[in-house]
Amino acid sequence: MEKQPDKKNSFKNLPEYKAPDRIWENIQNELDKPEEMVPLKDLLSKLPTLEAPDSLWAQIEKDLDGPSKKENGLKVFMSRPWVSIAASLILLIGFLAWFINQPSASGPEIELVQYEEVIQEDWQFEDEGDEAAFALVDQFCKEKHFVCNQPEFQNLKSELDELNLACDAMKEVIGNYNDAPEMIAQLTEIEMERTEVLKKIMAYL
Amino acid sequence: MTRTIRMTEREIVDGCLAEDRFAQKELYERYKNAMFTISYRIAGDFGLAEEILQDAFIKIYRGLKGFRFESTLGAWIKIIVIRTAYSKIKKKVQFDPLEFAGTDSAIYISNKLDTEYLEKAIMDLPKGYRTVFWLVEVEGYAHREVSELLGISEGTSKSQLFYAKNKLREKLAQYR
Repeated sequence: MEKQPDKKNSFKNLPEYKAPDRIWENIQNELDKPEEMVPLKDLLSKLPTLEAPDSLWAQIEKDLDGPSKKENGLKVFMSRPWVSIAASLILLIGFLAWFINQPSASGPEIELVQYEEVIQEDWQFEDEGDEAAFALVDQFCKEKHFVCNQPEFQNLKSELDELNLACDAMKEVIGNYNDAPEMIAQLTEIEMERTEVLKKIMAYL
Repeated sequence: MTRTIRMTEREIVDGCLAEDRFAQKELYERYKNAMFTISYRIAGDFGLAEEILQDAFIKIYRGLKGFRFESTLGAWIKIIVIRTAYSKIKKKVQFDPLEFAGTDSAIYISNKLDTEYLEKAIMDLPKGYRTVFWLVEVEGYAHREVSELLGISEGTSKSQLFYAKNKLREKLAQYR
């Protein structure tokens, strides 16, 4: 049987490289360098930058693909009993108005006028009114009301959703502080834009 | 096929607004390490820093519609990261009502001081001192800006820095 070459010895026979002399010279120079006092700021600028873990992007992607905070916020909002009750009542009135307005129905038109008034009163274009209005628009469309299938309405609705997201994000960015003038101005701008879109949507309802 | 063209800031923002995943990734890649570093320095914990980075970038993507190019994108992102980081540690930070007693003098230190040792010394400072120290001395914010970012008075920001430096002087005494 042929003898296997001795690997251990083969490695030992590999050539050894000589470290260049200049390396020790450099080390020596560094060691001999006089200690200098430098401003702390100089050292701070040399602090290393950390590396973000690779797995983080996957988490962010997952969040981006998941339901938006607006949707979550809406769930929380709708879970408040008084909002649900108010929304249900308004929907019921809306449904009755629509039912009465059918060709076969002979109900007086005054009922429809009353329905419109109820909504207008609740939907003051203030912050809280806006929230109720958003909830109502969503609830209205969940019931597959025919108005919500109109392309113009859908365009406005997606514009509203986008603006809501932007508003929520800005609010989170601003946090609890009321002293970020630039951001507050941006938020006001977005909110005004959103109110305009909401007004247009209201015209459809 | 991979896209290798370097995108401009405007292109990245527009891409993110259009929910283009490539642009979103590009934005993340450009800022992830710098923002992770800030997150860690404020939070003092790697796990929390990851959470901060993740939350902050989601806020960034969702809030980009409000970015008006009035500052650089990096500065805008940094503010969001700092606010997100601070909101996570806020409950644990105590800004003791300290008197700002004295002048804010520069610290001189041996150039032989190891940066790792220096970083550890800073990280060992109380959270309030440390946060203000990083924001003023490393990130270059003015006390007025720090007061806006953290919701504290300018005086508190100044006193926190003053005491942070004093503590640091003690810790680094052997290198002075």
